[in-house]
Formats: sequence, structure tokens, C-alpha cells
Amino acid sequence: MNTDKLIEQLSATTGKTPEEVSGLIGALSETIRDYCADIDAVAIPGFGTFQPIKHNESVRTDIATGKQMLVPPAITVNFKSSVVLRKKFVG
Amino acid sequence: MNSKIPVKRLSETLAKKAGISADEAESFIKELFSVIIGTLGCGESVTVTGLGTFTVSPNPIEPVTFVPDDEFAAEVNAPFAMFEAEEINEGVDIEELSRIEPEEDKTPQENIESPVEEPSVQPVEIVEVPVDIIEVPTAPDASVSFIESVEPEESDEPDKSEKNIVPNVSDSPEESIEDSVNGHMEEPQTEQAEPSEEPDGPSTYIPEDEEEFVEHSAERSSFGTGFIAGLITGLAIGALALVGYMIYYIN
Repeated sequence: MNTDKLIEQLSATTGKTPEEVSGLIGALSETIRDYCADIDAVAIPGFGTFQPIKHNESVRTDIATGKQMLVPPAITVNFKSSVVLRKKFVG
Repeated sequence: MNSKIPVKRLSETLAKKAGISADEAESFIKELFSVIIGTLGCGESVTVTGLGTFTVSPNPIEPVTFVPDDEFAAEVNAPFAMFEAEEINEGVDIEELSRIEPEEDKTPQENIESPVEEPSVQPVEIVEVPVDIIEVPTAPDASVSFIESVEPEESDEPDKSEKNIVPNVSDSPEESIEDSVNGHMEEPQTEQAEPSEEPDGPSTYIPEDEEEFVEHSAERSSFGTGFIAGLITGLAIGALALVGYMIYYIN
């Protein structure tokens, strides 16, 4: 399902216009991004947690060339499913 | 930073941004993710613009995988966006890199401090050689010779205080060598005599090496600890005596 279909479905369930729903989705995405950029985890009950993780710099070896590369530090976003979601899908 | 944002706080922030009430924002968030869960339950992946893509995975530990949007990933990694992976040259030991880095951090500070410290260090190192050669026959002269040894250049200059020693060193090297042999026996005594005979005491004590200075300071610290230990013992005995007297007096 892409974002447009999601907007249509939400518009039908919430009674809001697609423009309003699109704006709300954009604002929510921006809010979650801002919190994660501050290295704060965002918890959605019944769904999961968006958790930013900092990776320290590391040395990796290119198997093909055998050369060693110094990989710089990075921050990535990890998603951890909630127990409710896991039970729903796993059973 | 490093905190967990609950849905209430998230909905308050969303409400401020979107211009709606907090309750409305919270209900929208719950509705959005329930639609996502329903779609995922049908085995279909969901893409949310600005956030990322949710996909069902066969992994029982993590049944839903999330791949962030490019925009999301870039914003989160903004502090490290300017760095790129670099190839390490051959022959570079990675362990040495980790050792060198903290030293490199200190070098700017050392460079600032070194011009002040170097003049005081170098004379000490130079002192070692002349002290071994120059002998200290008597205590008063010994103090002068030690002072001389700190500044070897002055030994060449004819100073009034150095009458007895400088000519001996320059005119009769053999005597100085013989005296140095005898002086090795006498040196410890003279060194010990120096602080007691001179009125300044510790202030004129000029150690030959850094090791001697460390030993000297260690002796002083051991004396201090012994003194404190004796003081504490005496106070404890006095306190016990006082308690016994009070008990006897009360009874």
C-alpha cells in the first residue's frame, strides 16, 4: 500500500479530507524525525518503537580487494515491534 | 536525548504543529497505525512518505521490518553526514591508531607547555654528567658545587664562590677523578648533610635526577604518614581513657 491509498483509507475512517490527512501524516513524520534526530526513541503503543542507534566508527575489510576501510560513525533508525504486534503476527 | 517519547507527548507535539487538539492528534496517530497493522496483517507492505516502509518478515523475533525513508535516514544521520569511508593505507596498524589518537589530542597542549618546561628540564639532564665528574669535598663547598652543576656554563666563569672548586676541576683533572672516587663514598653523607646544615634546608636541595627527587619526596611523605598515624593512635588512647574515667565516675 502506498501513501495515497493510505490517505484515502484514513480519510474514510476519520472523516477528514485527504488534504488534511496528508498534512497530518507529513506533520507526524516530521515530528518522529525530529525526535529521532535528537536520539530520542518514539514509542507507539500496540505497534512498536522507533529507536535511533549510534554506530561507532569501525574498520572493515573489503573481501574482494582485501583493503581495509575506516567506516565513519553513523546514526540509524531501528524499529522494534511491540509485544502485541509480535503476538498478532507470530501467534 | 536518549529518552523514550510516549504517545501523549508525541500527540501534543503533533497537535502544536498541525493546529489541532491533543486528543484529536492522539486518535489520529492510533488510527493511522491501526490501518498500517491491518494492511500488514493482509501480507501487504505499507509506505509512509517521510517515514519509511513497513514490511512483514518471516522472522518470529521481528515480524515487521522497517526501512526508513531517505529523508528520514539523512536527517537522523545529519551530524555524521560529512564523513565518508576512507581506505586505510597498507602498513598502518589499527591498534596503533587507537593509541596514537589520544596522544595526538594532547600534543597541542604539550606544545604550549613545552616552551616553559623545556628550559627547566634540560639543565637537569645536563647536570647528571658534570656531577659525576665534579667531586664535593666539603659540605659548604658541596652546596656550591651542586648549584654549579645545575648550570655547567657557569663553571667556566670565574665566580667568587667557586674559587675552591673551579680551579680544581679545570687545573687538575686527575685530582678530580681521584676525589670523585672518594667522593662517591662521601656524596651520600654530604647530600644528607646539606638540608640540615643550610638554613634554607629543603629550598636549596637540588636533586641530581628526577629519581632522587621522587625518593626525597617519598621520604617526606612516609614521615608525614607516620606522624599522622601516631597522632591518631594517641588521640584514640586518650579517648578510651576519658570514656573509662567517665564510666568509673558515673558508677
